[in-house]
Amino acid sequence: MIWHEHCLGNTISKITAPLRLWEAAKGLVQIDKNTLTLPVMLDDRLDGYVFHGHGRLILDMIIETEQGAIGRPIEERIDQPFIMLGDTETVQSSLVPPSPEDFSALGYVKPQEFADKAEDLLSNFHGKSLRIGDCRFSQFEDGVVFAFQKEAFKFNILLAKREKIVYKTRGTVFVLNGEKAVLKSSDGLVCISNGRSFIVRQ
Amino acid sequence: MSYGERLGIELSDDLKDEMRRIKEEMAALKEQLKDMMDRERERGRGIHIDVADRVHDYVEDVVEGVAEGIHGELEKSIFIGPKGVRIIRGKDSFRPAREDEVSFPKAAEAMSALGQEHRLRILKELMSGGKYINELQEKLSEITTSTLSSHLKVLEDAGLVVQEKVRGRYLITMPGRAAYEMAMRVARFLARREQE
Repeated sequence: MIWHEHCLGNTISKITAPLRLWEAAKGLVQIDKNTLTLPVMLDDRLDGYVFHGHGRLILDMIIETEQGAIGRPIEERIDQPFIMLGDTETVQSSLVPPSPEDFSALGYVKPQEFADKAEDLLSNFHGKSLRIGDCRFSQFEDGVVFAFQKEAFKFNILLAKREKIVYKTRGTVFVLNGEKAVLKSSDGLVCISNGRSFIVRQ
Repeated sequence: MSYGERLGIELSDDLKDEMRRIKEEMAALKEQLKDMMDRERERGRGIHIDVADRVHDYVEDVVEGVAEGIHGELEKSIFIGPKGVRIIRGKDSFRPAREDEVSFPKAAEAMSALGQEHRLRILKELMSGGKYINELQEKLSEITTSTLSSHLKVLEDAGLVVQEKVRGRYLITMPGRAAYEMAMRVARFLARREQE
């Protein structure tokens, strides 16, 4: 196996308008305008971005069973740097150079501070979460991977491929694939497959 | 093919070890579950789910990765199938909740939410599946949209209804369904008594 590692590009940009990085019937990831970006490269090829700005993650982690709905929606503010790997086209067309005010609005005195923070984030992501092998995330066709750092080396991971979703946080996993779904949370475990459900309560 | 391979990612060694351990635990769990179901079938009780039916690999790989602790949970599990609910009783299995374990304020909130005719009708409409507010408005045309919204808020606060944030549909929850069914049983009982 030849190991590849993501590395950061050099050009810091910002988003010109609010942008939905992923949107499906069950969730969305949106970032506000003026969000800073740094490209994530894999073998000199654009494979994603590190973002820092404001935004939100919405996910309806609800499973409908014959006995009623289980789970709850989540809506989280995004205000820390995070990684997105996968679809880069949507972002590419909305980038312009940032102004010094865009950095200061996020608490940076110099652009390099954002670059350093993004480097740390990517390094943590590789160090504890995933290593990239011969295959690339971009082979996860039409899919995106989001990594939201919650504490050192701890990431909330969202994998989304059209309507298919995997969301993993500490203590919670939500998987949705058509008529099949799994929700593991502090309340217990629910699996549903084509109308038949299996529930383990805490 | 493992989830990692399918995605083209390589999990770190300690994560691999953990996954392997969990997979072994899941395999043992499935065997145990199959045995339990076989025993129940022999007793003629019938469990109306077949967890041996694998859900899609995509789902199962992830389930395996997070199934820590399920083994211990099994003995106090509820299984719900298309034909009803079966409770598997184990050593420390379910026991009726003692009165001091019941949250009376929570129960009162749920009962209070039920105590209004329109809210009961909202629950009835949701029993057949999730609905948007305009669909509910069509069914409850005698009340205004703002009144309907405030009823939905009461039901949501009581945990009887949940609203999807993206699509906005309202869904009846498990407690909501149980509460509605209980209310209907009480109503039927009272109606019968009046006839007598």
